[in-house]
Amino acid sequence: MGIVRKTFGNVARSDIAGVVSAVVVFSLFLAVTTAGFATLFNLDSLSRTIAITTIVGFAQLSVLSIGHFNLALGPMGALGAVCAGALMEDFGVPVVLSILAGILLGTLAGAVQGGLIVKTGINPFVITLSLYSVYLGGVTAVTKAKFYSHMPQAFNNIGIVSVLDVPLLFIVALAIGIVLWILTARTAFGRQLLATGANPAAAQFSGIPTQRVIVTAHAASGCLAAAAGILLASRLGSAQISIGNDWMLVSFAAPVLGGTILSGGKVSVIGTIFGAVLMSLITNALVLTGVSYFWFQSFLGAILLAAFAIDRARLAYIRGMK
Amino acid sequence: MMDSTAERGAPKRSFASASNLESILQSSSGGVLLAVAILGIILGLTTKDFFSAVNFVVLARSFSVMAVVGLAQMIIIGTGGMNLSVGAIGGLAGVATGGVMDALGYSPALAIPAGLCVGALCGLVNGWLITRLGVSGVTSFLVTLASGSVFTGINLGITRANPFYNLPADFRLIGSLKIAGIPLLLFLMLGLALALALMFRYLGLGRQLLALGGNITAAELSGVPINRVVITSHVLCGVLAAFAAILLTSRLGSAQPDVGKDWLLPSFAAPIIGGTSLAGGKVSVAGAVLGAILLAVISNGLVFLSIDVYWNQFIQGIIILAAVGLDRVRTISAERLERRQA
Repeated sequence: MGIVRKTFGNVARSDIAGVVSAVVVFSLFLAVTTAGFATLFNLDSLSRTIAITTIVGFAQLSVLSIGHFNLALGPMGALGAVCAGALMEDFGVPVVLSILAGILLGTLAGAVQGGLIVKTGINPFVITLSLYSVYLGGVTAVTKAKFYSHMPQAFNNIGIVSVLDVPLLFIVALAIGIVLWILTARTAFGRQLLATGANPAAAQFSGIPTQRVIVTAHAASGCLAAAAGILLASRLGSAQISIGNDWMLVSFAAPVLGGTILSGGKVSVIGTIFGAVLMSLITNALVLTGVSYFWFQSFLGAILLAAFAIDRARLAYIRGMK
Repeated sequence: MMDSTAERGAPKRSFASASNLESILQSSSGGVLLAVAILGIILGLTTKDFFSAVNFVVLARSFSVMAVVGLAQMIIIGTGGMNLSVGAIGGLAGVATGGVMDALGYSPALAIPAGLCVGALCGLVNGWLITRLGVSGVTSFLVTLASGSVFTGINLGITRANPFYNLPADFRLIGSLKIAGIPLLLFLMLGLALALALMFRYLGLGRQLLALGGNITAAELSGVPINRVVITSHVLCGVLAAFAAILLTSRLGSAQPDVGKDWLLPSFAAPIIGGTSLAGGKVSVAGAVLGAILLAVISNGLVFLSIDVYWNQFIQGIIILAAVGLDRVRTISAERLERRQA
């Protein structure tokens, strides 16, 4: 641990300054060295990827705040997307209602997850792992893995349009980020959330309704995951059950890179955004430099490991300060 | 019987009960055995061909592989951690074995040890990283989440998602050979299970593994070399994952890069259903094997009952929840009983 601490000590102390400077430095590096990075087309596409990655990171952030992991995040995204897609394509339900229904389903899935954790006392890891299977299996079985690709153009436009050259997706992600920041940093609920994460027993003795907090955190996670799934479906022009199947790694990497501590009690919304930006930049760089798609996984895994090492160093530093 | 626990205060169900039958039924393995028996009987009565010799062979080959996967995860759960990269290790080891035979032209006698070494190496990486970053459940979660991605990446990078098809006949024989109508895979799995059970019961390493899972601080204070035990457990887990992949590859007849892709849930489900506690410190080898059998019977049964195979994943999730829920109920009522008696 000592070597880890010395190596990452500086980064630990600076918190989000670390990830912000990494983003800035890396962006400049790419702009200068890689052809095709600084083009309008690439930046436009990149910002859309960042938008969705950010919301996925937010979804995991919701439960990281209380020290839990949402392993069923991907399937919750698929649930939202496929529900909305099915409603629009098979039943002709209006776009807005379908989107709301999809988000509601995701929220419900998260609430059920939180409820199970609170009411049964079973290890949260087992519950989210099992629900991963239940939700993904359930949506696959109900829809028979159908591909929804004939959704109304109005829906697909969400993923395509821009406002003053800024993609709508990006604006939505930023708006969600602002709401989350206000919630966690400026409201009583946010304080309850972080208190529950830092020390559940102490939180309960202080009168915080920890059970309600936990259910709400998981419900929020499901809500955001479903939103991310729906936005992705809009961008892709198709809703399918494979949405979210590669979210697990990224959902942890973004918050961790941005300063959120995995044991709960400390979150950074802004950090998560920059973490998502960094992850997307790296993927973009890999694509632009022609690295074979097959090696992407290795890169992302290595990044997550580095992020975690920094996280541990941060934790050790904070503990050392007391 | 085949349950091992390092907790001195644990309910001595197996030893203190009046009859052996009673103790078997009371243990978690007994519950699973009962479930398997009941399910098997129902399926045998309601469908044609479930009890046929052909189906038995299919079932046996299927659960033998998954039982090894479950045992691999069980080792890590016993130490209080988790390994999300078992599937990735399996995939990489499988293609490594296949590649040594197909691309490099060596015999299985070289390829199989090579595959096992790949598994051991992956486990070594996991164990080393975990000890470096501070042994804990959270650490093992994140390290193996990341390393799983790295291993899969290496797998895909080497194979470009193309399987190795030209495997020697004597390698493929392992997966297809039958002795007195019973697949060789089953014997291999049972042999491994027996070895593991003996290790946990009689070998110092086994007790150290469980001590680590039971209470890491107490273990450390008792002189258990934490880092060495963590690394050893992950190396063992990696070797077992590789072994499972080699068995599966032999059965499939080709080395597929996506081996292990869907191992994550079953690797936890089998041991947990079988009574291994996720908190660590208690494992059940027989339970893990029976858990794998239960899951295989369910999958198999769905096919016979003409239920959409898509429901398989859903049902597996429900089963784990039910199994853990039942275990929780049992634990709570046992605690209540103890409190009343005190």
